[in-house]
Amino acid sequence: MLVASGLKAVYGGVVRALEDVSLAVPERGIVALLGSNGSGKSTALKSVSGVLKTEDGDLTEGKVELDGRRIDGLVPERIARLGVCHVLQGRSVFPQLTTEDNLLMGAYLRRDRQGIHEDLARAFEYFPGLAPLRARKSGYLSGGEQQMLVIARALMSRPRVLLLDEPSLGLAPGIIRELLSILRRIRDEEGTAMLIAEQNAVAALGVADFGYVLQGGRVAASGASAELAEHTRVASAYMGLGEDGAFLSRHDAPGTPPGGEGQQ
Amino acid sequence: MRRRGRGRTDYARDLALVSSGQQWLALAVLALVLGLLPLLLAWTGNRSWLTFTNFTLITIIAVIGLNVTTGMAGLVSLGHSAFIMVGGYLAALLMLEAGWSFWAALPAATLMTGVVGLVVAAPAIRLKGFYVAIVTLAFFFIAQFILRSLDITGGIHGLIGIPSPVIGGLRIRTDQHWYYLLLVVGVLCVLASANLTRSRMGRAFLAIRENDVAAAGLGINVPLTRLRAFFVGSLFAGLAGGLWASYVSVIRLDQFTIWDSIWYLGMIVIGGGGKTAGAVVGVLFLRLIGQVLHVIGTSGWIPLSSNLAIYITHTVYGLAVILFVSFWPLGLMSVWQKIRVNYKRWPFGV
Repeated sequence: MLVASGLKAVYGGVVRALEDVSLAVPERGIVALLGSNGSGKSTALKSVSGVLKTEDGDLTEGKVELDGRRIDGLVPERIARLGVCHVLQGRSVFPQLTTEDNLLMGAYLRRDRQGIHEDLARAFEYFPGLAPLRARKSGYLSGGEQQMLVIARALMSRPRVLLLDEPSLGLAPGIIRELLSILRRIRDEEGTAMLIAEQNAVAALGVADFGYVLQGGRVAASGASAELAEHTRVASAYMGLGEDGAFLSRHDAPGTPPGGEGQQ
Repeated sequence: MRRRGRGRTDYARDLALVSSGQQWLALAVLALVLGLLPLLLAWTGNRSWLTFTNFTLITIIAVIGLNVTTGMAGLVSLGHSAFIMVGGYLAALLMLEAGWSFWAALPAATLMTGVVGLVVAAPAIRLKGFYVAIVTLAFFFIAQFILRSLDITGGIHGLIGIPSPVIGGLRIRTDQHWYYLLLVVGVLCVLASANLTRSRMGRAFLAIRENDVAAAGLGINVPLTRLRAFFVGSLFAGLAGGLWASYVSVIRLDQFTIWDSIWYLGMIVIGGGGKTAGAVVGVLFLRLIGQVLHVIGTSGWIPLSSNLAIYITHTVYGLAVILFVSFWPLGLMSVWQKIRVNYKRWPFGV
């Protein structure tokens, strides 16, 4: 359904973030996008949603297609209208708005009052923790609640594809598990396809059907989740994966001598 | 079991603009006070208080507009007094030169000021905060220059003899008549703005202020929404300007200063940005301070030259803004909100 091919992205005309990334998200599929810091996960998502342009970035090569129709080059709100909803990294709630108003913002493009009302109820059903916080300013919610809120808000637009940028960022392991199981339930019940960028490889592969590993702006490996998960130990040797499957930063990857590169 | 606390019990109540009996009571008292205000002020024996009240009402209408542009949508406008000026000149010209009645000239001037707002905002609208402030600052001086240079606007002498409105044979001339006219228009503006805050468009304004990238990701056309916010804000300014011109019956360039633009922003900061009630309270707060200083200054208790009095007023205004930013950065409305929440939860603490 969503196909990106040969993406090459540059920030400010000088900083290259993507060298060559191709990926595909099938109908009703959950696809994980893995890689360490600076590997290009976020940029890949931004290239798809068009938000790249608002951050002074540019897609210099490659194309993005939704159902065979090219969407690269469209402004972000046009892409959102086509059913691609981007959940930005770091809980981008509208802090001065209440939980409910945040959710209603998610339905901004819709005019069917009745449907919006029903979806509001459904959002609280998927994320029961949000229900009692309906009238609270979202700036006062906890990190986990805010992450739930931005995902629930994205659902309010009834997206066909959900782009999630590090949904596990800063969340406790238990909350991450809860969040991922909710995501899978949403896919099963609503048929929403998802592209999830994650550092937490084990968690992401636990919920995804397929995965891509990015390194230095290129796809270094790809495969079915089970396959990729099996390779995580091998991958640790050259991609900076820790024992638990979480990606290490460039500086504490195995093989870097203590006090070596990057240390002060 | 007796119900504790004073929470809302159903969704309709949550949505209602006035949600409880107590609020209705408070509104009734407020309406009574506002209705009888000219009589109450007459007791003071000083007619300047009613004039002050009328100018305050006009300022409230203008600042409600700035609250949409700056408070809600987060676009800092330094040209708001220029939009009021433009609205005033347009209304005056339509009445004096084109011979229109007040009731035709006022909406026309309001709409035209809105369009001027669109034209001014257009070049800066793809950029954030700072650039909009610079463009609107430039607009202030350009507008002053144009109005000074044109023959039709009377140059530095401005326009005189601007007619006052007539309602059903009654010419609105006295301060008291004007008070009731301005009160009605002011209340309508407050209602319009309060409803805007709760509408789809109003939420979009807040969303682009809070996080424009996330807003774009949800399908909000950010530049278009910024333009809308500017248009609506300029409408209120144009309306206030038209009322001003007719109320004062004279319009001159020196009545509209860059200081006014800055203190309008100060009023929004003090009231609590983004909330209609905040804008109203902010205007009242700063203007009351000004009036008290004015009364002290003209009473002869303290020997002051009028120039010095102006500097002192500006200094006190500035001090008020600094104190608010330091201690109540979310303005008077946030203080009120704390009191209200504590009252509702009583006897439980927060």
